[in-house]
Order: sequence, then structure tokens, then C-alpha cells
Amino acid sequence: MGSGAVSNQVEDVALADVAIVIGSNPTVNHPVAATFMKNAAKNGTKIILMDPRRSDLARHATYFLQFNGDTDVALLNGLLHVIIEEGLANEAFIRDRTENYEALRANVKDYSPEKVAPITGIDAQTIREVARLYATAKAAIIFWGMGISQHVHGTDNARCLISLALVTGQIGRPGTGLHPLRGQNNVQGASDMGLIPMMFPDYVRVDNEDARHKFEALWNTKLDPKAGLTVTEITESAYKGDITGMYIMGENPAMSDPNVEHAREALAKLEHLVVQDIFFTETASYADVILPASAFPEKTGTFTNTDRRVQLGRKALDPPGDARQDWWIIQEIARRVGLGWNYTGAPDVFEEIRRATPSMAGITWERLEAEGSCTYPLEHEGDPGEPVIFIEDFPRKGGRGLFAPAAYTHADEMPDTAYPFIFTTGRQLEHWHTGSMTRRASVLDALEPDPVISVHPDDLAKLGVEAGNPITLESRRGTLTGYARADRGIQRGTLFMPFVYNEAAANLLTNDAIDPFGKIPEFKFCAVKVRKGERVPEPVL
Amino acid sequence: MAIAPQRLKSSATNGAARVNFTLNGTPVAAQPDETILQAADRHGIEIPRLCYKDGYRPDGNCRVCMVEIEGERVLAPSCCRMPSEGMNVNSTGERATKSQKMVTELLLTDMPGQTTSPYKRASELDVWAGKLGVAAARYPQREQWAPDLSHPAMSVNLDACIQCGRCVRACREEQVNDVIGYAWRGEHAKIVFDFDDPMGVSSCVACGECVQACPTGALAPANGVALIEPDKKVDSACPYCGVGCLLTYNIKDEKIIYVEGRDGPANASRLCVKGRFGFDYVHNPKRLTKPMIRKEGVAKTSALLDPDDMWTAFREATWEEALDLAGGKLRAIREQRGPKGLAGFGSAKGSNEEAYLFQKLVRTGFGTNNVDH
Repeated sequence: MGSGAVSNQVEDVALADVAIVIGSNPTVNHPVAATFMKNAAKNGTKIILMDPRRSDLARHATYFLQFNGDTDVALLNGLLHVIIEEGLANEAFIRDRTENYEALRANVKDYSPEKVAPITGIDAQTIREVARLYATAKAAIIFWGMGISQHVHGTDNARCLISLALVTGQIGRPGTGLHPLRGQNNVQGASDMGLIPMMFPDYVRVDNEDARHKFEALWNTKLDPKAGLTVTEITESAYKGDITGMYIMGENPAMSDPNVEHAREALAKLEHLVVQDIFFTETASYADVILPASAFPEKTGTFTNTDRRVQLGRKALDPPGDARQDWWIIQEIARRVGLGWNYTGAPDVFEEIRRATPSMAGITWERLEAEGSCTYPLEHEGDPGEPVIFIEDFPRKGGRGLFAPAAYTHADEMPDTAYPFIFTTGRQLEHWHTGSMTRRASVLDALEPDPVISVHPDDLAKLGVEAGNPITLESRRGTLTGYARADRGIQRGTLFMPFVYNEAAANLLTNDAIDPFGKIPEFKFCAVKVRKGERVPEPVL
Repeated sequence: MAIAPQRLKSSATNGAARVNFTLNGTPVAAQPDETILQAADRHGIEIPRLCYKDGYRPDGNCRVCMVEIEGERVLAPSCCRMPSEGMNVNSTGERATKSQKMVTELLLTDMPGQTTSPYKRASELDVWAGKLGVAAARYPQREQWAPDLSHPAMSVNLDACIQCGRCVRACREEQVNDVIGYAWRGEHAKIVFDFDDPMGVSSCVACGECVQACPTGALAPANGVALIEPDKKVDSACPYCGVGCLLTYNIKDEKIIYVEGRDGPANASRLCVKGRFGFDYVHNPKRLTKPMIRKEGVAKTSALLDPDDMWTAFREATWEEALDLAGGKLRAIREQRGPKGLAGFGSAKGSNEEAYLFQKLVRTGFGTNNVDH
């Protein structure tokens, strides 16, 4: 579609007749967004939850499709098949706003509900009903999370969701559209700002010559015309010894990378590693220089939420001891690699961002101070901002949305007799990401102090382990021991674990195979074996 | 359940006529979807209220907001009564005031010690009692509930509960967690968690909406922090997920003592357990406070280093020394191996300004696009 931003904001769920939530556990990962979904459900919005794990939102859903993990493309192609076969496609929208429809139609012909039912575990009748409900709704919206993205076929999963919106015309109006729920508080902003290897700020590709000249003029220097490496590729390059120097600010790859033992070996091989953080994180173990930084309440800056809202965080405290503001540290490093920077603080940098990022050019610091929140695109001062985008066209050449047909394929590592269980990872309500903040927050640590592995009670019974006791998991890459938690919401033969605990780091087990297009690793699916465990190690905090 | 009228304001006001009525002798105009109380608020006329909370469905159970309407036999609760054209309403006349005071006195009667809340500074009940001039209660107190301190984040002291039901609406209608319920009858009426379980073992997800809703401090953040007067309040945002909730930090002696949800466009004053109660990591004694440099001769292995042992591998340094080493060596690698020998990971937790500077540093200073987060 030519954009990575959400088309509509979370609050649009209240205007939707139907909301599909897939590969997302919003009551855990986006709890306040989930409250608006639940409010909407109480007011009549029909929620269709699709996920291999039964999450709390299922209680509020009209349909809950607990499909087999890894079969997203089969299920979604099944829905597309029904929509086209039963004449529910929005022909006018397809004609006026899209291209490559014939290829999609030919592709989904093979995915009748009867054919995908045994693959997905969802009966044909339910697939038909859900397809009809979505296609015939006056307004229908789709929310998704990392359950869609973190597969080797993650891009294909997302393409199917885009096809659903395009084939039915459920986009470009209030209460419709596509909303990939953003994880981190500023993952949207980080991408908007060009903190990704293939794009400059505002999603301009680095290999676009005209655009590069614009940034070369703005920054007054020559720029590399070739896309850089992504996180997993950088790790691999460090492992091979090609990359020997790294600067890591506020990230913790020694916990968050897949196949993390391999990632730790790669970090240990670096000749020079600079780590900038607020705690001695797992990644700091491999540093040569550690720079003490400031925590969120200690600094002022703008943060862009999942809705494209640019919001102001204000400094409430001074950093402790000799810790410093992050922008100041980056500038001091810049000066020492030879750049003559002289920024005076966040408002000063924001002025340059407005010049680099046309879609935010109309947002002024003064307005942020007064209103606290502005939605982009907001190109000219005084504009209201655009909560709904793609109303008339898509940001591609020609303005049409592209159907990208996807074929059902398997995960990189399927369960087998040696490693018979499916292992999947994610977050839990009380902890955040790698736990560097939340495991050091007293209330959160008190609520969830120990590494837990969700297991179906039937599987626990087979293992002869009672809930609350240790179990040991082993994949081809690593092994860990955590406490078993009985969970009827998880399918038999599947284990789930949050990746927050360093005494039992879930990513020791995960597979570092990546999606060839999105370059996102397959955190959501690998094969493990499980046995009764002995002792869970102490956390290293 | 109907959505609270406030949320519908923008859609409902389009084109519909305003309602003109008289309030305490002053002509006022209400939006078509406004109650008497909301119209009064917008015109700066104060009417006492306890069970009413902005943004929540009006429940009309506490009877503190009673007003007199000309031509009507009984007083009306202004929080759930819509004005009609030409209505003459009085909130400060003798009948209304007497009723408001009586209700407040009866509620104060059941407060611990029959006085101000021992759990929350300037509780809403205390504030209204002060404004109405209601002091000592003349009636005997009911039998009181024992405290429930089973939850690490919140304290439950139902001896200060006035059964206004704001916590029930908070839990069931706002956050829709359906944990809090209203049990028993009459003087035994009680707020319960699940099947009258202690809060700490109930299915509570600790969003704290009930604490934010409670007008007396019967539900309050743990450890009595609601009794402390903050030195300052700072409006900011939540550092955790992508929802982008706005919040207010309450600061005392350079420490965050509690956090409140602010009415942001993405959160309508709501927060979750992390945003509301997960803030004291910033005050953790293990925060890094000095630049550090790896000691000569300490080899790197793939094993994690326990933060308690970090000084075995690192030594303290000045900023000047640490920055010179950090930046100087990055520069040396660029010069010796070329830009491809370098990479940077910025943070999806940092601000836009930090992200922008970081990628600009890698692109223009390292000379490579090897930058990600």
C-alpha cells in the first residue's frame, strides 16, 4: 500500500460494526487500547478474534477462531476465497482503487473453506460466516500485532490482511482500515525518524536518488546510497567479524534477539561496543564503554503513538548522579567522530525534524506544549491533522493499492519427533520487553516475579508435572528452566513464554530465521522438547 | 450499557438545538446532551457531587447533587436529569442545600473517626463537606470492614467506602475487567472483588482505574502515598507501550510518589498496571550513575555479567574520558575499516529527537545505513 502507518486510530473501533483482532493479545500488550475495544463490543461492535491462544478478549468476541499456529495465510486466503466466491467483493473499489486483483483471485481459488478447515482447525462454516460478516459490515476495521509479523511468512500474513481490506473496500473511511498495533511507546516515531536501515526520515528510501540529494543538502554531506543491515543481519555480520564497532542506545539485543546465545557470542566478538542505558543490562556485559543515560521521566521529548499521534513527554526529575540526557550524549559522540553539532535541546532538534519530515512539518513545539498531542499527517501549521488516511488514494505511484497474493507456507522449523512441541513467545501484562525497567519496578516484580511457561493442563498431566513446578525446555539452540503455569487458553502441544526473564531467557530457544521481506525474525514459532525440570536459576538483576 | 453521554458530545451536538433554562436565577444554555450538572459545570456553577465522575455513566445514587426544579414535587439528582426548555432550577436554595448537607453528613458518619479521610488527602467527600460546612456527624456509625492490604499496589479500606459505585463503573464499564462487584444489601452493602476475595488474590489486573475513581480513598495506592501533598505535578506520557496514554507524575522530594491518568486522546484518563504502578524503576538503586570503561585485560565471553559484579570488569571514568574513548574508537574503526565496519542500534523507547539524532549520527558520522532499533 506504500505506507507502514496505521490507516485509522484505535478509537475508530467505536465506529466499526465489525473489528477483526488477529495475532494480538491487546488486554496484555495494549491494555488501554483493549478497553476501547471492550467498550465497543458492549455497544454492539462484533469482535472477531483470531489467535492460536485464547486471550481475555475472547470473552468479548462474537467469534473466536483459535486456529493452528502458523496457518494464518491459509485462514486468511480462505476468507478471501469466500468473499470473492460469494460475490461479496467490492467491485467498484477494486476497479477504482486497486491493481493486480486478477492475480489475487487466481491465487485464493485454491483456498476453499473446506480445504483450509483441516489445515487451520477452523470449520468451513465458521470461515464462511466470518468472511460474510466482515465483507458486508458497513464499517469494519482490522487490528493486528506481532503474531502476524514475527513469522518467516510475516509479510505474507500482512499482505493477506491488506487484501481483505482492499477486496471489500473496508478502508479510507471512519471505522474501517488497517491498524498494526505498535509495541514500544515510540516504535512508530523511531521508524518515522529513519531509525531503520532502508529509509531516511518520513519513509524515503535511501536508494531514491532525488530524496537522497534532499538529505545530502539538509545534512550537508554525502550519503550511502545502499540500504544498511537490519538488527539480525547486523548481529550476523558482527559474528562474522565484518562489523567490529557498535553503538547501542537503550536496546537490549542480548535479551531480545532470537537465538540469543548466538547474539551474545556476536556481541562478545565486537572490538568496540558503546552501550548507553539506565541500567547494567544484559547487553552491557559485552560493552567497552558504558554511558549512564536518562529515564523517561527525566527528559523532555516527543513520542509518536500507534495512532500517529505526536505527544509530549515532559521532564519531571533530574537524572541520578552523573547520568546525562540522551540527546546530549549522542551529540558528544557525534562531535568525537568529527561532526560539528551544536543542538541546544529537544525543541531545537524538533525544528530540524519538521524540515526533514514533511508529514510533520506543520506541528510546532508551541502547539505540542499547548495541546499535548497532534496527529500527523499535519503538513501546514494550523492544520487539524488527519486521523483517517488513504481516503482517496494510496501513497504509491498511480495511487492504487496493490494486491499481493500469498501462498501458504510453513514455519522455518516445524515440530518433529525429536522436538515435538511448538514454542511461541510474547509479553505479559506486568512486564515490558526484556524487563530492564519492569523487573526493577517493585510492584510489577511483586506481581510477576518468576519465569513462567504457559502449558495446557493436559500436557502437564502427561509430563507428570503439577502447575507451579519447574519444567525444562530445549530447542536446537538452547535450553531453559521455568515454572509451568496451567493455561487452558493455549493449544495442546504448544508452549508460550514471555521473553522478559534473564534466568530463563525465552530467546535462548527461538529461531533466528527471518522473513525475507520484512526481515523480522520468527519469534512466534519454533520446535522444542519439554521435560520435568529441576531448579529455576536466580535472576541476574 | 449505554456509552457515557460525554463521549457522544461531538456527534450529538451537530445541528441539534441548545436548551435554555435558568439555574440559580441565571439564564444558561445546555448542549442537547448535557445534564443539569454538566451545564452547571460549563457555566462555572458548582453543584456538589460524589457518585458522579466526568466521563463515567451518571448513576444518581449518592443524592448529594440534588437540586430543586420549579413546579416539581421532589428534588432531582442533577447528574442524571436533563434540563428542558424554560426550566427553572435552583441548586443553592434552602430545600436543595438542606438535602445536600444531610446526605453529606450521613456519609461522613460512616467515615473512620467520623472525620476526614485517613487514606487520601483532600478527598472529594472532605472537599464537599468543607464547602457545605458539614462537620461533626450526629449519628452512630455502622460496623466497619477490616482493611484489605493483600495487593502490592493498592490498599482497600472499606471503612471509608460510601458505596457510590464509581469503582464498579470503573472496573465494569470503563476498563471492562469485571472484577469489582456490589454485594449484599442495606447497611451490609459492600464492594467486593470476584467472590469477595482479597484484592491481591482476585482476578484484578491492577489497572488502578478504581483507585483513580474513588472519591474517599477507600481504594487508594498502597502505602498511604495518597496522603502526601506532592511538591509538583508534571504532565507527561507513559513510557511503556504504543498506545500513548497521557499521565501526570506526582513528585515529592524529587521522587515520583504516584501516577494519575490524564485525559489524553488515546486513553481518556485510563492507564494499565505498568503505566500507573510501574514507575519506581527510575529510583532503583542500581541505576547507572557514572560512565564506565572496561578494565584492561578483562576478556569478553558470551556469559552474562551479574550487575552486582560489574566493577570486576569495569572501572569508573569521567565523561570526558569515556566519551573520548567511545567516540574516538568508533572514528578509528571508520578510518581503518571503512563505514561498513560500524553499526548502531537506536531505541524505540527514546524520543523522536533522540531517534532522529541517532540515525543522523550513524548516516553522516559513521557513513553507513547500518542503523536499526
